[in-house]
Amino acid sequence: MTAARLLLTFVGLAWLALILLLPLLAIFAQALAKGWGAYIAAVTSSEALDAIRLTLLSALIAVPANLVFGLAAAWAITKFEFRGRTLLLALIDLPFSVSPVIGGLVFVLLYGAHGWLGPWLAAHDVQIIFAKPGIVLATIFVTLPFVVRELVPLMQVQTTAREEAAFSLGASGWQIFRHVTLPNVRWALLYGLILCTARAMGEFGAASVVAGSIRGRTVTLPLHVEIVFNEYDAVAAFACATLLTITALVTLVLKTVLDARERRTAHVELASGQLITAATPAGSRA
Amino acid sequence: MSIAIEDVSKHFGAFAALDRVRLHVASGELLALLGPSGSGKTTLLRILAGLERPDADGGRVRMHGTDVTGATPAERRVGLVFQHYALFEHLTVAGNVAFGLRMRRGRARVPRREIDARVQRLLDLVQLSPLADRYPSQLSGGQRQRVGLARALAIEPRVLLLDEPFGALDAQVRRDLRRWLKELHAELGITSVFVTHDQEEALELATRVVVMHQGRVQQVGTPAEVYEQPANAFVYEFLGSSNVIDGRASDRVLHIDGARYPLDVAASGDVRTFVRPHDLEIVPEANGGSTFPVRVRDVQLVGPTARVLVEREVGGGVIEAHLTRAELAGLSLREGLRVHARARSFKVYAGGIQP
Amino acid sequence: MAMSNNARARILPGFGPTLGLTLAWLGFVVLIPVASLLLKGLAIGPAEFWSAVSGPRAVASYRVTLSSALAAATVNGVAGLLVAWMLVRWPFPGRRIVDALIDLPFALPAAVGGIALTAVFGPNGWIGSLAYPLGLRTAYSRIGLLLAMTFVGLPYVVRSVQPVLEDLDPEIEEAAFALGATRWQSFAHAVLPILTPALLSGFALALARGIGEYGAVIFISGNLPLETEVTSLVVTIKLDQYDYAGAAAVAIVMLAVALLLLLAVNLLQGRSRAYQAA
Repeated sequence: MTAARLLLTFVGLAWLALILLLPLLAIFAQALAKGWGAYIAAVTSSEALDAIRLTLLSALIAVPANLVFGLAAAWAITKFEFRGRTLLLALIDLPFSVSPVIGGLVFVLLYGAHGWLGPWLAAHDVQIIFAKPGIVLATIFVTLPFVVRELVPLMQVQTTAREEAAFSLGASGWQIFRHVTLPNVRWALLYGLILCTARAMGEFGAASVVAGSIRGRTVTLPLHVEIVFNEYDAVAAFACATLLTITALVTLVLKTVLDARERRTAHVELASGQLITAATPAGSRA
Repeated sequence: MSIAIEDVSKHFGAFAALDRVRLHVASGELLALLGPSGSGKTTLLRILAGLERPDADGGRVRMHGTDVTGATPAERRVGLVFQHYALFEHLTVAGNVAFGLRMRRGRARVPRREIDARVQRLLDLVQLSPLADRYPSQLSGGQRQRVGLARALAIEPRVLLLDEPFGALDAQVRRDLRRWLKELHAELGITSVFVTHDQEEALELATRVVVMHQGRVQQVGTPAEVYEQPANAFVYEFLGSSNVIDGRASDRVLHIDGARYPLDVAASGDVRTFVRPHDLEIVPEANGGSTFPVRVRDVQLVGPTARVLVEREVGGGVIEAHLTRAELAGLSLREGLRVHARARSFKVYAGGIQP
Repeated sequence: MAMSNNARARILPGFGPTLGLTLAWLGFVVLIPVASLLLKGLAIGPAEFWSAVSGPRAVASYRVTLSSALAAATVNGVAGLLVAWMLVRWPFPGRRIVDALIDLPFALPAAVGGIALTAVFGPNGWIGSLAYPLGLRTAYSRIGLLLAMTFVGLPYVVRSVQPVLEDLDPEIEEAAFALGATRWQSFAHAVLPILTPALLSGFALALARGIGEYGAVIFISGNLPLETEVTSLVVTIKLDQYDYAGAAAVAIVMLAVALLLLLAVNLLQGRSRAYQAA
């Protein structure tokens, strides 16, 4: 039995090393293959800096927008009962369940030159597709569910009694949210924001569809990685990839820290439920 | 502060949680809403609190003569106490009590010094001053519920509403807190309504008891009235243990296994007779026309009381009699012994029992 | 009994504004754009829709995508169960780091994952340079596709099974063991049935992710038409050829498959919770 356990542990770890650890190490090895000088040059090239700027810009717009959306949606969904709640949750989850390519395509079909609003936009000299607004829209689309998904399961398990108590004590809606609800979900909210940010900065499929292939205008960091990689500039590609990888590793560390903090409250694992498990009534998980 | 509930109805989908409830709460009362789960008592309390609205054409709620049906809890100035306390876990005891005052803005803003002073007074009142800086998670259940009460009282409510306030507590703590709440109510004189499913709690604590069932008020009265004069079979059965004995009624006489009792209600045919176990007498010999034969099945001694289970020889079925130890000593009962039973007092309800 | 167990207050403030904001934003970001996709795809009429979604390249891509995603999800089902079991039941040094690392494919941008896999499994990569001489083409092939889909799907099974396993009382196996079952029997008959709903739901999630994956796949699959071209890529190719209606039609097929899987996962998670609640 001990032998079997040792063997299986070894097999499991070897598998994880092959599929997770080696690719992770390869990123850094490739990035530094030609030394630190080449690395620094690659991440500070003007194209890379442009890409970093656009990536940060789209995250800076998408994350606060989806934060406000997430808070409002979680409040409406968990504190009130109304017809179509389950459907609403499914729709909020939609960006998670479809290919990111579709997330880009829908905006091309709506705002692109041949899209429904394309002629009108062209007449008013507004460009969305193959331009920065398109990147931002695609980023908002793919990151829409993150905050809601972290908040809803948690807020659903907590009853509304505390909010009702605060309401009876004369607190306004904002005061109830700010002083009663928020302190109970702050770690989940923070976690949702971290995931949302990481995803906003790393989005590739949707961004690549709306960005088109015009270099320099609409290139985010992941798109820049793709471009230089296809130009066989491996060091530059992996150097820029390390920036995104470090962001991902920081996300994982923060997740571990927040998980430990939240172990007691009903926390939902990172990837366990693609879906918000909101169809169930509060308290049924006990 | 008096409260008038006028024909209040509340439906959840097709389910009628409240069906045209009329009720008057007098100023300074300590009123119990008593009933099994699903009887509508919690819904009624939530409507009083302003946390739930009656159906669109479902009646009015008035406080001190003013229609408050559409008013928020804060506008009604009601203090709420919750079964599971609903304390703000991230605030200290003092922070919880101060919450309502701190939330006041603009002209209603309360100066910090005054908040502190009032919190101190309330903590003294609920005997929690030494724990002012603790967090709710560091308190016992009884202490938490006292914080909940102090928090509700801090806004100087006109009415105090308590939802199963002792429901989450141990038996001993429950009894202590019950007594304490009664004293507190006597001291403050604030109009209070509490929900409970525990008849003992309602009878011990309340000045008046409202018994509810299936969204309707079954009876309103003092604890003595509802216990001694239950208005119907449901109230009878809900307010204490009872034997149900089937008999026949004709010409204002009740027949049970050959025994005859005079009836004061007009009933005929098969009737169900309700007898409390302590109203069932056990005698060694048949006596006049009011005893019926039974066989002893079991005798259990529970503290000062003897519970005697007997089976009716004619009609069948086991019924229970509660005897004092002295009564038991004079009988020398043993299993299988044939004795006779007599109902000292009983109830027969015309129209039968509601399901 | 309690004042607010399930009966949610309808009275708390803020319902109108928050729901209004939610619907407006959802409409702007998701509903109207997705509706424009549906309109575009369906406006061309059934005949043209059918020819767009049943072209040889599209059909080949369904076959490749679906079979690779199924294979990857199966690999992840077995490996994920083993890893979850290790993490919960067999403490080993560095367990917390491994646990944290499981989510890497979720946190790492797909494109970065794609080039990293290429660096490891490509012809000059650490593993590729060992495998190619043995005739094992680990990149620019179906194997590469499988590796990429396995990589992105890895967290799902582990994270689905792990919480169930954590809640599972070891006494269940001990009881079965005490009744004379072998280790394997007690696992297969006492534990596996309890894990099955979570395992299946993790499998379905990994499958959905594999089917929709784009970034991680395109670098290592070689993108050979009819052979290793995934459906997401077919959509972008049609788009590059200005075949908007065709792209929309294929995208609608992907959307329908994703929604079906979503439904399956919802049902499975319902069952999984029923177990956990028991």
